[in-house]
Amino acid sequence: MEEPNDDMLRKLISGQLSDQEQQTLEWMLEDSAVARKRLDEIAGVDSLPIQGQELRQLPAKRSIPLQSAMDGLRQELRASAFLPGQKLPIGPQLNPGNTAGPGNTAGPGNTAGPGNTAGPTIFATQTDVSLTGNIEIRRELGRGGMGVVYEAFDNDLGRRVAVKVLSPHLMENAEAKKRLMLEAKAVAQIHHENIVAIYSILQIQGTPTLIQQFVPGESLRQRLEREPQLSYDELYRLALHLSKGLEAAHAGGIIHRDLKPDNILLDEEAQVARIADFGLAKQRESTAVSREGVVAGTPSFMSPEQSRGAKLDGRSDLFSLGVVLYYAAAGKLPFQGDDPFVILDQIRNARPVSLSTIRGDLPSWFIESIERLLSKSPDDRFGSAKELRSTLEAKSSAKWSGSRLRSVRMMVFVLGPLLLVGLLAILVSSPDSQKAIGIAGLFSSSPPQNKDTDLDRSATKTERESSVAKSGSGINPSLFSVSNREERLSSLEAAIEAAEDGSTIAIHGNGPFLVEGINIVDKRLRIVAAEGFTPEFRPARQSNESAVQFLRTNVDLLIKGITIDWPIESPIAIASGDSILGRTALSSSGGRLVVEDCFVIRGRTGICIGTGNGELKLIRSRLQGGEAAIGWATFDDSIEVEQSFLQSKTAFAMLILGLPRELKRPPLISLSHVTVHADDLFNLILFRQPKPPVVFDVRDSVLDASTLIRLTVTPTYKMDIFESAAMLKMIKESARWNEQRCIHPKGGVYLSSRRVRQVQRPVDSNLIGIDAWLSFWRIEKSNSIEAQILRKPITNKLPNVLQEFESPSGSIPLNCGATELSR
Amino acid sequence: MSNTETRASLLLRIRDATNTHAWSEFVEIYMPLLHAYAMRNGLQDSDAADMAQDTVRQVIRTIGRFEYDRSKGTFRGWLLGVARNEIRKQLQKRAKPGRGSGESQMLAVLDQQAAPSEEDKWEKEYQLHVFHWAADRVKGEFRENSWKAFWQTIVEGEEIAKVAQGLDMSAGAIYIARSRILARIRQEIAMAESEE
Repeated sequence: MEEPNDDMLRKLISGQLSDQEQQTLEWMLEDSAVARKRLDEIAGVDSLPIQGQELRQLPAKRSIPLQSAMDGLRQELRASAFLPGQKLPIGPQLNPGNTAGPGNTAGPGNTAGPGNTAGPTIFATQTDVSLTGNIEIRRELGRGGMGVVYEAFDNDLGRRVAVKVLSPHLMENAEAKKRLMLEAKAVAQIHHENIVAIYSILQIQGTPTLIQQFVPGESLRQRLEREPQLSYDELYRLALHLSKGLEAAHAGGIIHRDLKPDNILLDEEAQVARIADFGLAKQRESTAVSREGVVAGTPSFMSPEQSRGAKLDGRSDLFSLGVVLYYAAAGKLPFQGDDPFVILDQIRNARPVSLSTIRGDLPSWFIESIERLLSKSPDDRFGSAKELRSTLEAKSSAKWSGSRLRSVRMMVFVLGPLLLVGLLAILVSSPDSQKAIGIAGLFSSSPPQNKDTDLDRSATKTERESSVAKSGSGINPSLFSVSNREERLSSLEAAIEAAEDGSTIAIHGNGPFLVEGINIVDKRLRIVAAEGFTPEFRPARQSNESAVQFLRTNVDLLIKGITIDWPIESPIAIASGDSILGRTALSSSGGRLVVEDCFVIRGRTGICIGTGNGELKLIRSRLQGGEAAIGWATFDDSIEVEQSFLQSKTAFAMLILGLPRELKRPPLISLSHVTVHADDLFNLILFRQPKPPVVFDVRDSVLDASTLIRLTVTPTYKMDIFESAAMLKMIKESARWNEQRCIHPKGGVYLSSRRVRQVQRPVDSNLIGIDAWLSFWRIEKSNSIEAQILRKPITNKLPNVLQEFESPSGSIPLNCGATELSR
Repeated sequence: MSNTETRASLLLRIRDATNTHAWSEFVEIYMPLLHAYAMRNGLQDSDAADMAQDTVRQVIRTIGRFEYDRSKGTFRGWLLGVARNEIRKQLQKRAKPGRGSGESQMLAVLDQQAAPSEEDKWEKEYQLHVFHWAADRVKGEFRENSWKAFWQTIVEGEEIAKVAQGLDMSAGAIYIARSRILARIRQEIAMAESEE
């Protein structure tokens, strides 16, 4: 019998033979020991590096410490890939699913070849954006059941995008993955102003990811949290926009399945409502109750037919729309209950309280329309979104044509969030006189005074304006001196370029100076205002799209007497160290950043100062606005803030990654004579427990924050911190809090926690109120007090520090920050 | 096997510290190996896990700088050096006065030039580990019977004839199936360890 040659055998191994040829070879192998031996040789059966007995030992089962160390490290890696400033890791090497191996080329004869598995080729990039990897992550927008959403910037196309990394649980099997991707693909075909556009679907690091339209503004849920009942005009517009969006989607054969306020985005620029997340709801979830009898998520917006797991059509979305509109009108849900099962029962059987008894101001036809949407039987609802839309439009033209009122109200709809910012000037009544006396005695030791900050800033206003005019007319005086150079230079960039390591740059002018964003590498510098000047810097490009930092350095830097007005969406205004800016959160570099007598005013969002493996010292300075005043990705940083003023959503956002075992010292945050106005004073984002604990040393400060310490726990951190005792134990182990002579807001919350990807849970009730807080840390009771605190709105005008933050009655000496606390 | 050429190997891909997909694979392959190695050198379970983590972090920090010189040896050889260093650090930390002398003895052992037997064990452990890792990865690509034919004859060392009978396959079919699976596993391993 003929022996097969090597070439044939190789083809056999790589599955390149026809059925017929393969069958023949199988017979040959059956008969010929020589052929079998040769095949084994080619396949390398006997040349494996380990053989026999050794191969049989299975690797040891992973221990729990090992598994959690692996998970933890992966989480760190992922976190560093999505930190602000990172490029989205898109590239050809990231489609491992497409490299199935030799079987890919298999012909029809593959009885056992790998070509059998189609594999996730579904992810072959379906593109409509540039995929050169030039998408840069800006910041995390939110997390939910669907996954994580980031704001990002497509540098090639020059536009903002939202990057939605879908949760793995949505695709627990290939079938679900496939369906999800097909749905997303279908939505990507739809272009409608009331639907959040999907630009692209791809796989990043093994996870399906959507590149979507970025919608500036808030979600309907956020809106309703602020203002539970919308006005009629807003409701009308909402109903019209949503019905249009649904009409377009239904025409494309797509059912949303999960319409709820979270998925409705209010675009404040385009003034429209847009629907997001079409068809992303897990099929299994859509039946509300899984086989295990567990209700997934809130069923409040589900239709009766959905709650039964019946087949759905577009009218199911209409029911959900009815719930949304009812909710936005009444300020409460039509079907309520403590238990998801109760809610489901209500959805199927109960009649909601009529809207007419809650909102007498709404026209009866509008109320009837909403209630019709809430019919139990799909047949009793509007026949389609289109029908609803025509009804709304017909009524509108009858009522609103030519009305000026509507456009005014439309502005309110859009400007709502902005107006709220103005209203943040929470002027609260003065506290009772006893407390006032208490405070007066409390701060008898006044902090060091500083003349520089007492400059009358308003006196320099005209000067500054004239300087703007100058730069407008093209005159560029040389106002920057460098200690190692004779001549002056015309820009900060040029001065930094000319400076040597260790130089001082002095600025002899007020500006405002426009800069593109400066990166200082390996040059330790001092950048200071020359005597008598208060220089101000602004971004050269006013576009919201440029994510440049004012200054970025990897070594020591001191800046003094400078105002940085950075009203673009820059994540970081000043940064030291490359830890949260560089390519990876794990690289090490350090520097000492000293910020003295500076005023850093925000973009809408953004961290003002970020350090990593370094030190930050903030003295007599103000940081105002943004998501976080100080961002901190810690290894062994220390932050020292003195006589300063911080006002932003979160005062300190602290990303606690895996700490190395050997720290030079425990991470230290010290605050002294500081005024903070924030929602959260410290947000500890834990990837693992800080060891050794972070030390907080807080004294003579006004801590006007709704929550003093918020724990945000990432999924790798396996701990149920909602259990009150566990949370308290954990915070005690993670932090050392020393507090002396502080003022807390009345009714503040002292500890709060949340696990990423889970809904916010109620605050631990054990630590509400100052007494509980102080005794928790074993701090002298008389040391700190609660008081009602005056808060003024954020303004981009350089404030006169002396007059700011005085209470109307003058009874609380909250004149602090850059100046003194006592009067 | 032309695929090997079109796809960059793991050791190349991890040069990009932001390639978290590659790093995730790296963690999967090497952390259990490092953990086992540390346990063998006397570290407790959780200390060994920390050591494995620290070692990978160290690799992340240094690999971009080409700190290992390929002419002097393989990546695995280099990694063993890094691992030994990390273990030494762990032990030194604990070998402070008053902590007993067991650890300082271990240190002394570790400070000796790696015995050939140790290198050998490290290599064997790696081979075993990477083999099972690769097998896990490709398993889904094959039919159940093909996989069993491969596993029982090659890993478990069963007689071909017996397996053929049990699976109701011809001996020829078993040879074909196992040669294909083995080739695929080898390819996967090659992708993981190629330094080109």
